[in-house]
Amino acid sequence: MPQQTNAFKGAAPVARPRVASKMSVAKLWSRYGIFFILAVFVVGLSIASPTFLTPLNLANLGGQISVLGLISLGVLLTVVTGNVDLTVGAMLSLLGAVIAMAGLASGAFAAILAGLVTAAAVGLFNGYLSTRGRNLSVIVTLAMMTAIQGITLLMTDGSPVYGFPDSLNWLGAADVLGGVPVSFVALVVVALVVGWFLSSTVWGRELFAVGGNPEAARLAGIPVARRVKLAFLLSSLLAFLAGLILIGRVASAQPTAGLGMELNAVGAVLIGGASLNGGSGRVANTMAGVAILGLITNGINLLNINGFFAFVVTGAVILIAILLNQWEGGRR
Amino acid sequence: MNDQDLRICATGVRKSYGAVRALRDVQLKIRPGEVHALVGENGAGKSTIIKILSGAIQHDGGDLQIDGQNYSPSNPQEALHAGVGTVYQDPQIVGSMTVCENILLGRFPTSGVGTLEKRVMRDAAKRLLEALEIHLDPDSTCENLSVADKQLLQIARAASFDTLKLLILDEPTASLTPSEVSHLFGLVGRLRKQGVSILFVSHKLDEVESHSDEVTVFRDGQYVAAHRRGEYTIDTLVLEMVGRDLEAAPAKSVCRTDKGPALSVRGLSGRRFRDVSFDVFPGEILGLFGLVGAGRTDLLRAIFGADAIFDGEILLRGKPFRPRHVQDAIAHGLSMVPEDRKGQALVDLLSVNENLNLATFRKHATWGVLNGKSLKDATREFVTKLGIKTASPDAAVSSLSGGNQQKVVIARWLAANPVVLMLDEPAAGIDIGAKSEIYRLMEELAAGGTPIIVVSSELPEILRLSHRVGVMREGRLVGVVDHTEATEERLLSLATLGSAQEEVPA
Repeated sequence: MPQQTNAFKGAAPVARPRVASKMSVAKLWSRYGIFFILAVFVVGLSIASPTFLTPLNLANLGGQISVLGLISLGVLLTVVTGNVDLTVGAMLSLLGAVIAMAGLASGAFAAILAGLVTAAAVGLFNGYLSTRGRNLSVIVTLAMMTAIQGITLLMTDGSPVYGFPDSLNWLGAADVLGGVPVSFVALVVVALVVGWFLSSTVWGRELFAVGGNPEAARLAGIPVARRVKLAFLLSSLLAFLAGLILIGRVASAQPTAGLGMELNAVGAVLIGGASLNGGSGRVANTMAGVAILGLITNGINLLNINGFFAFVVTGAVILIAILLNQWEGGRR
Repeated sequence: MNDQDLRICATGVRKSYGAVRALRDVQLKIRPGEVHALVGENGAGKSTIIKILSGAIQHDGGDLQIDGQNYSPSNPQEALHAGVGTVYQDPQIVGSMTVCENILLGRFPTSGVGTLEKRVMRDAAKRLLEALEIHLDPDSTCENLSVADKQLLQIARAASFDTLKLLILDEPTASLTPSEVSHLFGLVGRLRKQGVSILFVSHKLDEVESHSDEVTVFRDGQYVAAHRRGEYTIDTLVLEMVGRDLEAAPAKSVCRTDKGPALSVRGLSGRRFRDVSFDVFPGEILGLFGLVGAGRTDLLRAIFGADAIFDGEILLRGKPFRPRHVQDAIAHGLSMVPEDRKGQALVDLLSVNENLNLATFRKHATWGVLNGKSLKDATREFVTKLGIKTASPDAAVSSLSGGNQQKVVIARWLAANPVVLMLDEPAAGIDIGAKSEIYRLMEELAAGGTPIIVVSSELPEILRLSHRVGVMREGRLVGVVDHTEATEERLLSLATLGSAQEEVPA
């Protein structure tokens, strides 16, 4: 093709127009389809159940999804770097127990401190282990998940911990503005902060580069291992917040409270369009994924359907959403 | 020759992708048992016609015949059974399977109950490999095969179809050493003698000249010309490919200042290179020539802190410097454009904007928060300065052509104001127009005082760019030759024979 000095003239003539019609629909879908599914759920439930749109139910729903939402954000951060943090569920149990036991023994301040320190230590250790080799995170965090759950059971002797200072319940149980759960407000604020972090900070963009092409990132001077550790650290700090909410909701720490929640979190991140290969993922889409999973449980309660169906429907929705996400990828 | 007697006769072939016409009215006529080269710049439509012939895509219009029969394969399987085999640039080999299994992939002979006839498979593979004089063990797995062997294996696979009439090779020599290249063309010659036609795409025109019976030139999706062997010169081909004259290389003005060297390397050893010493002066382009695997890339990577240094020292503007990691090297003003653009430089999922500024995010950030406007201003500046063709700074970097992607990578390092710029195969796989622009850019940079080290396996490139040429062989720097004395023969003999240590360091 002839030389052009004007840079933007005749721009990228090969790749762009070809995709105009069909691809852009697929692209739109991969980016916004999840919101469409969410809208279908909201409309469907509004019609099917008169109680769905009541303030009480919505407040309840907001509180319910805040825990899943926070750990999903953590998983998202690690997935962006091409890793995955499977310890978030077990960490909910552990951190809840640590906060509760420290609170029982030496008060709320010590409880928060103990929780933060534990979270940071576990997060950094996860990051350290995951950067020992390529594609290690699934297996090392799987092992860590089991170990952490075991430690929690040993610590608590398998029984719930309660009787800790009431102030620790605030985040999980209190309302503001006439009925909005504090935990939901916390989720919204944290989601906005994480979204801003990923899109507008050096570290945030570097996480995408590390996930998208680790070797290119390294040769561009980005400390790859340190960024991965950062993602795991942030993930466990978010799990700390989620753990605090979880014990506040019921004023007690259940040693198996987070069992299996990492799977819903990974599901929410993936139906939000992120790829386990790293380098992609959006906060808004992840949050839509979280809301959909929350609506499934909520809807099944409202409609008086056997609660076990929630598992089947959740599995089906994750499958369908992920297959639909392949639309764009499968086209080339 | 009558069109009926042709092996492949394609006339008026058209193919559009949406609004883009990738091929408009091209013709391609290949005789039985001839080696036919197809040349053209990137985007000329070479890969499109190959994909059509190999059944990967279907043409929109025009006539396509093989041995006088209409031919329009709807998938690669059909093409293979019709006698058209294709070997792509990246060999499609299952690494964990054996040579024999790869040859027969998809057609494993089985006994009545469905178990594999392993002996039959091995015998068939062995006979085939022997007939083609390919020295591979049918039972070894393919994981550790070199790119060259993988290519040979794929040719063997194509030849294993008894019907093979046309073998298509897409840039077969792009990553081969000279001896591997001659081996490859030896195999091509044997197939040709059996009456197989060979169509190969290449950017290396000297190779085209010496190995093809006929060459067809495409430009902008159109047929330009076809020449029989000996009836053209390389200059005609270039002119027809580009459609204009390329500017001649400017005379080299070595402006060696009295200032000391910008970078000195003394007795440096690392993985795959030993005891290397040289200097680079401000304003100079130092070429590093050698065969693939001579240790040039490893040397560059070690200086850049990407690989370990075992021994020796580096002096940056006279001060000792030992990079602990890449960040360290960058902080000291070193830059490196790696050899593998896609694998080592670009993050496909990110935009042009982000790829271009990847090494310099900090410059556009306060307390770690990026200033989007400042980023885009920087991108626009380099887009204009380097003539990068992109729809917008936010376009996906994967939507750019190879040459423009390479400019993005170079811009990334220009943005860092390097003290020394190192480039590894800067013009690999990009078209002639973009190539000469990148050369000009490097020459301007050097003229502005930035010392440049460039690794290249292309002799014309090395000779065109370098003020001095260091030649490496088997991990050692075997000579540094001034451009006034550098000839293809001299450099090649140093690289292959490695005559006595000469004028080291210059």
